[in-house]
Amino acid sequence: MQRRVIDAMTPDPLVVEGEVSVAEAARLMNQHRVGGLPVVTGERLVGLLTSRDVRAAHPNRLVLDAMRKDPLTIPPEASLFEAFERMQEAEVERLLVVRAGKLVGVLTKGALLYSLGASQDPLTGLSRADRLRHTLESYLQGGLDPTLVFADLDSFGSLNKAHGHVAADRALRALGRLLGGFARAHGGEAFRYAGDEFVLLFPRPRGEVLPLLEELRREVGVLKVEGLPPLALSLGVSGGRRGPGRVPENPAATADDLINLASQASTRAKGSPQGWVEAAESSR
Amino acid sequence: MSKPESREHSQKHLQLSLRAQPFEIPPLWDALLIGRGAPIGPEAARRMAESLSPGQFELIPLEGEGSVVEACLVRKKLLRLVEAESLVQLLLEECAQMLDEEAVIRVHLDPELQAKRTLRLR
Repeated sequence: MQRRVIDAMTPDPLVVEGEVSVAEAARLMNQHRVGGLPVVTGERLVGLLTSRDVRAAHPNRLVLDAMRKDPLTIPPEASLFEAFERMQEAEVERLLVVRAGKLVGVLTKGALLYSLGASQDPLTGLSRADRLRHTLESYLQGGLDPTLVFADLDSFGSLNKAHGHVAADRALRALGRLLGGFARAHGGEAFRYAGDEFVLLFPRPRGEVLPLLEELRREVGVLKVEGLPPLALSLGVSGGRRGPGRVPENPAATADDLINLASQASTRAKGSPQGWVEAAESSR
Repeated sequence: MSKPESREHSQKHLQLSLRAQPFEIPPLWDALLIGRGAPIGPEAARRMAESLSPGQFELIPLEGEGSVVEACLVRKKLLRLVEAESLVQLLLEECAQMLDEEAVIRVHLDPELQAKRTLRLR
């Protein structure tokens, strides 16, 4: 489940009326220790006053004459990654969360980064499944059908039982490092999906990715993890077949389909001679 | 040890002087040039003008950070005579020496029409 702005925002934020003085707004900011206040007239959101605006304006001015008139807004249903990208692009510290023209919350950079930290897997350093969904949806929305490789570590349960969880964690960490480096080297990104499952996402056609899989399995086969036997992956491949420019009707549902198809294909790949299976997709 | 002087024996007294003059309506004359760092901003000035002389003034914001003036508040009847852009340009040029970021300058403008025609003799 992808985390949304609504999960990290401060609901019912403190606001300031546009008709009060900048001095009064500054007092409010100090009292409540906030670096910015949404400005309203009645129920209507009309701007944002930040501590920087307060410093630049004469304290006698109306807030209406010191605020930014077009503050960046975001709907509560938007993903945290979209919020992060918007903040980075505009170099702002907060977004006003607006639903149907009404202010429902404030998302600060601090709260956003804190929440996004939870999207990073601490064991492998790779991004987690919600980040995968966001990246996948962004590609699909941009008319690109990326190739998704679902990578399932073989016999992980037996590894755990025979060598213990600490050793198995070592395997996951080493595998995460290898997959991350491999994906980056080929223009993609690796994610830890869950447990012993990883995903590699390449913004490239499937035809360009398939030849890489043998190399990947070879690299994994020679990966040395202290006290453990050689590792092996079962791979399932989906996506990367449609020409560019076609945007699916429902990118979120298509993203789910691609993940499911690749996951099922990776299960079928267990014990297969080449170690990978292509998903047969037809109706996307 | 001496006793402190009591209030009843204080020599302090209050003196009031006053000065009165008619309040001009509106106090902002024909145009107001509002500096970017002035104690009152364009919206406050617009509201003041609107409450004292409803419908008679128009706020012209000046785009860009280059000018020290953030906006001009101008009497609408002047804008029926000349283009807003020309009027603002004139005000900025003629008042340049008085303008700075913190200033709010009010300006009297007396339009006087001059015409000259040649008519055929009877």
